[in-house]
Amino acid sequence: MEEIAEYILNLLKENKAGYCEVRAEKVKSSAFVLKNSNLELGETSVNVGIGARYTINGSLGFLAVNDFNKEKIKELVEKSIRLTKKCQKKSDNVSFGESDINIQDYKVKQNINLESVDASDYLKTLNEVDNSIKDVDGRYFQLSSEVANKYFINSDGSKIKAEIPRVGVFYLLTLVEGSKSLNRKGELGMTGGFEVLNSFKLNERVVNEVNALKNTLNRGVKLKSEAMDVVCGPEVVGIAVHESGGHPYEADRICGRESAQAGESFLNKDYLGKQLGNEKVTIVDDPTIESGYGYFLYDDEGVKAKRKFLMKDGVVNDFLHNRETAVAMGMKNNGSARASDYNKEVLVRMSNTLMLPGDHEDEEIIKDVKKGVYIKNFMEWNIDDKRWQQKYVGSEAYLIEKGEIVKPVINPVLEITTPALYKAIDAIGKKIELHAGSCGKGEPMQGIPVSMGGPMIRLRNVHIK
Amino acid sequence: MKTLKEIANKLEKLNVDEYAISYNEEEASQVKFANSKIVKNGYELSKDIGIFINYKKRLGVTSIKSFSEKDIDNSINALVNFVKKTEQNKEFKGLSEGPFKYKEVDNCFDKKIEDVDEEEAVSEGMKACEEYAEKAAGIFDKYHGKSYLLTSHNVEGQEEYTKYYYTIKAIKNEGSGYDTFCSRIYDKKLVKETALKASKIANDSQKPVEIDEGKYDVVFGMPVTNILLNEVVGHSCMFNVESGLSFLADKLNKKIGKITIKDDARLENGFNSYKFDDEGSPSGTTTILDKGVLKTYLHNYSSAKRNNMINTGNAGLIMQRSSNIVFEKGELEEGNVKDIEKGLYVTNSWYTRFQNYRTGDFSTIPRDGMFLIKKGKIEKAVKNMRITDNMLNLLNNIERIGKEVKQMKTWEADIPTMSREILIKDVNITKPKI
Repeated sequence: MEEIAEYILNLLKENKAGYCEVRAEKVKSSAFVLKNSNLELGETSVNVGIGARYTINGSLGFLAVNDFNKEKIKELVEKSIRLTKKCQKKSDNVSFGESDINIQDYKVKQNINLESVDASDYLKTLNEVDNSIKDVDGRYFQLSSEVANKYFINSDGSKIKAEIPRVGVFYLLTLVEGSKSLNRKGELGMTGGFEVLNSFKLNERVVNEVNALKNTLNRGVKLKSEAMDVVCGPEVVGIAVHESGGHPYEADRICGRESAQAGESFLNKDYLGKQLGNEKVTIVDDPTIESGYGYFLYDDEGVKAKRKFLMKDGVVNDFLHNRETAVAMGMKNNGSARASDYNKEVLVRMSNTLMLPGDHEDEEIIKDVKKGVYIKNFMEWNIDDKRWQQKYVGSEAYLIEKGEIVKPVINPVLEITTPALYKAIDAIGKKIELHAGSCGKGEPMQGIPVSMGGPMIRLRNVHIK
Repeated sequence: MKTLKEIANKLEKLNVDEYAISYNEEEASQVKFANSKIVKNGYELSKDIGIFINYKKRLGVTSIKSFSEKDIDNSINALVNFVKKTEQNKEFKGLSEGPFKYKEVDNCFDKKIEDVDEEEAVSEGMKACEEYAEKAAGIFDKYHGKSYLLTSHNVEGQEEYTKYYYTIKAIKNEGSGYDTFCSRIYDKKLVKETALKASKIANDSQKPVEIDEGKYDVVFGMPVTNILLNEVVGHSCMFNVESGLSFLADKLNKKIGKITIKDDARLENGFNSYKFDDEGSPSGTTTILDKGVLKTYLHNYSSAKRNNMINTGNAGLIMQRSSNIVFEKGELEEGNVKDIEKGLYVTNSWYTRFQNYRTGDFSTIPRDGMFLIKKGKIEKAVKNMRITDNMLNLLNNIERIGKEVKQMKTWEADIPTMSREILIKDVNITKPKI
């Protein structure tokens, strides 16, 4: 695979490409689907292929192949170059600028190697959880693991080898009580070996959630539409910072490159340095967080990864960039280029996005609420294509009166604009939790593993219904 | 097919009870544009062997992307060894029994698509967009591929396909408009027509304002209808019904509105039309809602047998998959959907998410042009509103459907739909207070 990658890089150089890069990937994966105690299916696959990107006089070409016959590759490269040259007259004059040359080889440590584990070991975990909640009407679980080996080379001389293992769980539960029903979805994911699965404490987590939802079905009340304090748990903070504290900071959206697909952003360069949230709020995107589901040390352009402060003390501080957008916006690249597979183009992506902790104990945050609602986790959510107004619907949630949690609330709805959300935050907890997700962008759609989270937060006097 | 037969022999030697082996090879290209410039072109050659096995009721799948004899052998052995360590699928009832004779679906292959000049097509669209808008963004994709299927149940099939797909967002100041199409047959006028429609919406959507939340009669533009019907048909897949994740569960033979919705894998020029499904069952046309009455769910062989229903030829071997969505007026009238006293016209939407899959409570958020209609005419552009309602309510409240039909799929709703504009009464519209 490495030899073919180098062959393609040389072919592109011979054809007078300017900047060029090649990504070779081999991803070994397994997955299981358990539905209402029935194992529907197991999957084991090895996905191998090579993607290459290059410029010719500012026209950007991309090609992908998983047949390593050199003659066929040569034909493909020639076809691709013809199209790239043809597109030149209407091209956006893409430039990748200059970048450090990195030569690195890194692997994420696996305490229990994923390849040493049998299918039966994975299923033991799923069966344990399923058996604990047999009285739940709908029980759907997906468990997946992968070991991704990447080999990246570019015409600058960078050469990166990486091995990143990941384990993820997704579940969807349906609880029914007479004519009432509730759904709960959960997603967990981390980088690491099989030990990651145990660290999820899946059984304990799901059983607690089911008990809480049963309580909501039996005793829950619907809120009237009114303004009150809202306390959000880390899972809700996570989705909020991902949707409105991360996506609007992606520079390719700001530049309009993803306009017809994942949308644009209300932010632009004029927002840099402006106060958008409470001064207590700092949001970072950090691929280097060990065990984060979106972990990497070098991005898919071979650039060193680092923590990026998107909102610092409530002020818009930085955007997420790849080489192309950094040049286009005249800013410094910060290594945010990712592609979900060898055959997908590199885009500006988040990794592990979180709100940094504050100085409050969780109990203090709730104690100082006269009337409010605590939304521990969520079910439905969405946001517009400029990331201006969003909606989060609680799954497990409680009414707070005089600093005490008094009863469960059924599906409270927080529908709020981005500035209103971040300005209303007046207390931030000390304890951080990260949750996992698959973030979609690009066309064809690229689902990419990310973490998102933060501490408990309190919004003062916002509208909820 | 020779390689597939060799794989079949190996699986039989390993005592696999049932198998389905598919092979797909495809050549695809893409030109992506934004700010009325080409930002990227792409070329891909892909080959993929997919193997499904039933080994003593333990089910497994693998995908093979590396084709040396050694790699294929390793993948087969890895799959069988993997599956041995799993558990039985107690609900699986087997694969569809062949042999079958397959009829071609008309107009699903057009050699001319291979010769379409992507750069010229994109340039033509960007130029047409200049008529009313300032800039454009979008995608032009084309595909040419072949697929083969061989199963343990006397199934052998092959087909060749061409497809192309175009999407454009036109932008003018704060306003934008969107339109798209997909097709198996080349039609030169489609790009220009689509670009012009998007640019007209962009031009109309200037100086948008917020309006009060509440109940509105809403005209769903074709892309929004595509999204709504993708959800309806997705929820009609038996896997989702059995998982408790469908608002159509317990609704069989009950009336939900008045329209007729079909899954049509034999649709002429249908973007996802096919001769045979993933286990080799011949493709068909399935009426899901007949004048509002839920007639069936979508099935593969196993789910149909398990539920004593008719196989609709929608395998997915575990999870059924829809082909193309077609809908008809049913008991309603066709006509000018915008001929209303007062209402909203939503041209595009995204982020359709469920609060409760079982009840159908959901919301979706409009993007691009949205308008207030008064006395059948667009009065002003509108922004920052959300559709927050229930799928069954929407189906029940469809009042009229448009005459014009266009085949499309959208970014988050990729089941191709012969889409039309529809008028739905009393749709709940919400927005943030701050």
